[in-house]
Amino acid sequence: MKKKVISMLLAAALTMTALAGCGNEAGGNAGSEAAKAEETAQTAAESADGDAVSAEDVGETVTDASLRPETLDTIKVVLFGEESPRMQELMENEFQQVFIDEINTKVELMYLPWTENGAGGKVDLMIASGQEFDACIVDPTWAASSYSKGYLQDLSGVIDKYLPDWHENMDATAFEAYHFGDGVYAIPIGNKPTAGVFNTVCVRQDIMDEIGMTDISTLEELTEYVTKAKELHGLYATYELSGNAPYIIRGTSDRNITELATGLWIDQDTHELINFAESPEFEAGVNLYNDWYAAGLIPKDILTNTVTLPFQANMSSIMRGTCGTTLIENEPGLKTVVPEAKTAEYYISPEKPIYKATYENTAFQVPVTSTKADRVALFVNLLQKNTELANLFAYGVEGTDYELVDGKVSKISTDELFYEWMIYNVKISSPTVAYTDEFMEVYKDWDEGAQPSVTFGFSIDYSPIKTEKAQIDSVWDELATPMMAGLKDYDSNIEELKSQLKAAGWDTYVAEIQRQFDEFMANK
Amino acid sequence: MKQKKKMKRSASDRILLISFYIIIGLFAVICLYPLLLAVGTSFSDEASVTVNGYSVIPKKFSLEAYGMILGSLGKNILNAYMVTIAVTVIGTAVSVLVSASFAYVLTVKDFKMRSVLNMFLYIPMIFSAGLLPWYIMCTKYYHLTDNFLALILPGCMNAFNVFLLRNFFKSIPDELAEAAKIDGANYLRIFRVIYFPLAKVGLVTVGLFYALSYWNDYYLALMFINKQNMYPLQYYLYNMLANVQFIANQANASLGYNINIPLETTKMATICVTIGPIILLYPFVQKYITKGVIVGAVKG
Repeated sequence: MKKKVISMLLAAALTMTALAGCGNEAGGNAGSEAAKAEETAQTAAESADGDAVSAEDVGETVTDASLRPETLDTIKVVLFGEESPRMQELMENEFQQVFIDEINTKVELMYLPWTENGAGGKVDLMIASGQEFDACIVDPTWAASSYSKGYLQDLSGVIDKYLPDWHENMDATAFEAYHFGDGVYAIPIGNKPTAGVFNTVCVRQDIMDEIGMTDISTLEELTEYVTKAKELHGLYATYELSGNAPYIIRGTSDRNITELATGLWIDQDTHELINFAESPEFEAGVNLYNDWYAAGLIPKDILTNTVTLPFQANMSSIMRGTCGTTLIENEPGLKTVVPEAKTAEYYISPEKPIYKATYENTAFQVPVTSTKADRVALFVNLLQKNTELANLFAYGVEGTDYELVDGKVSKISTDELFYEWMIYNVKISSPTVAYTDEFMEVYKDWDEGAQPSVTFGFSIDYSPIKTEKAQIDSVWDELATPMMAGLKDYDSNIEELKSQLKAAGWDTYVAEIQRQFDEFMANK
Repeated sequence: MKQKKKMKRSASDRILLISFYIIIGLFAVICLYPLLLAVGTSFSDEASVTVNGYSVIPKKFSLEAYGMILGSLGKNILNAYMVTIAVTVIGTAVSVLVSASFAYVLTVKDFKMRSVLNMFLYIPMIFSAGLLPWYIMCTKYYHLTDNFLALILPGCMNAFNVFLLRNFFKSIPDELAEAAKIDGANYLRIFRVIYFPLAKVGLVTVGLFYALSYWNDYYLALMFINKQNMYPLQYYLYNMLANVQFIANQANASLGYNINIPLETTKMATICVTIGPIILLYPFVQKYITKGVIVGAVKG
């Protein structure tokens, strides 16, 4: 009797679990259908109002009421970092209202830590396991890797139709970085000057004024500046390695070469791949750093230091420049240590051309599992639509989160909303009060005269040369890096470097990259 | 003659003893030093850490890092603490119960499927299908996304701990169980009344291992939890540090950000906030750990 009861209970438990699983879905479906019916009834009433409101809001921009979907739907967008309390509040109220009014879409955000940004992280896992979400931010390298695994959706169909305002405020060249095969796999967002990034040298203008220098356009002038900075203030020149400092390499020869991969640079004019270790530029860079090291200008712990921001900590007198944004990037931190410090960026060999290697580093991708690519495109379009909306999403509600002072944003709340650096579009976004007018004049036109780099849009797929790349990276780290830090001289070490690179599979490595590059150029 | 021998022995003994004290003392200092560095640095201000590096005694005392962690985020941290404490307490209880039950079954000689269960336990220790199948199973079939159980169930049973408990149970004489059986007790009663109380040391040891793993876990939250109010402490702090690191490393990024983000001191303050409770708890359970570790080793 007991056995019968127990076995019946077990069977009942098993059936319950099975039914519960089905039951949830069926119940869930019925529930969501009812909800949808309600929502469509609501939106029919809302859309009449919504169209009127959006026409007012938009002003002179083309009203895309025709693009606004008729049914309300929800998209799930993955972002990184932390959702600040104010962002949560706005997402539930003002932002959500704008989304519904403009594009009849509710936006749900899902935040992951920044460590998951990149290939092999949780986002890739989510796509591979079929978890539902509709968009995530991505960069060109990650997009290339995801495309090769078949994770991304081709957006060519939605790009032409659903991005009317985007095309006015963004450069379509930006799509090139996400162009793989025959399709486009992400929608870039944001528009900031990126010409010559890391090609300028950022120096201490207050020290320049002190020693009476007005310009740095050659390596000799740079050496003069760092020497005097050491004499007067005891500052080291830099903690950056010469190979990693394009602003140094720029001044070593007349060729226009840019870095492509470890140990491999490319000549922008002849499109020739250059073995950096065998180049005169490398020799000049290494010799310069060796001279600096001998003069005590390079710190002995350059390779092992744990200092995060030596320039801002008043430990070095130069660092790589970032398209003129030193005013925002470096000065605030520096001023807490040296209140009277000023910074400025200079091009060494300013007569040489300046290249734009990236247009935008951030874009929104749509996974293959999503069916709402059109809504995602509308969402991205909305973020870049006009000044009012761009400011709303980046800074918040005027009067509550920020105030406009002479057309510039003065923040009241410091909570992060949609990332400023992602949304910032130099054509429509209002700058913050940290940007002086003279800075804005320079910044707005920073990209003028810049040429797109020949490698723009080219991403190397390392999978056929994984081993060679790993070995070459290791040889480079072990042998070339100390040379570029000034710790080892050129003449006694160059032969070993060359032979070790050869032994690590240099020929295979270069042949494969050359092949990929030729293919890329042929498809352009 | 005898007296001389005695003195010689005690002198060399003393020397040996002193050198042991010195060596172990040095070892203790070496272990303690990084901790003191962390505490000292967490109370420094970022600028002096950047310039002077870590120090046990802060060059310039500042509560900046703690202010940043606990200030506007105090409520979130408290929430994270609550989640972690709940997960640890409930998780440990569930894990100990499940592990002990499984281990007991493995010791019952009458149970014919013992070897099969042993295999079920042993094989996953060695072979694993990988991350993706595990993730698909947990999210698609067990629906563990954004679920409190997601923080407990995947880590609920650790094969190593089950083996440990099985050895504890084996060390309890069979005669007790037989005697109880003769008196009419069923297996559940034998387990509850005899084995469970007698293996207290083992249970506390295993319980502590589980508690530590639940307390330190951030991986399960990373995989399965998306709602901010369900983040456990470790994941919350991991998240925060990852974000601070990202902001500090962005070359072109923070247009308009003129906040000096404390990075090194924040990391150290994070460490102190996280390990604080465990360090305070440890002295109370220390004797159980040392007992537990050696009992399994000695037979009988």
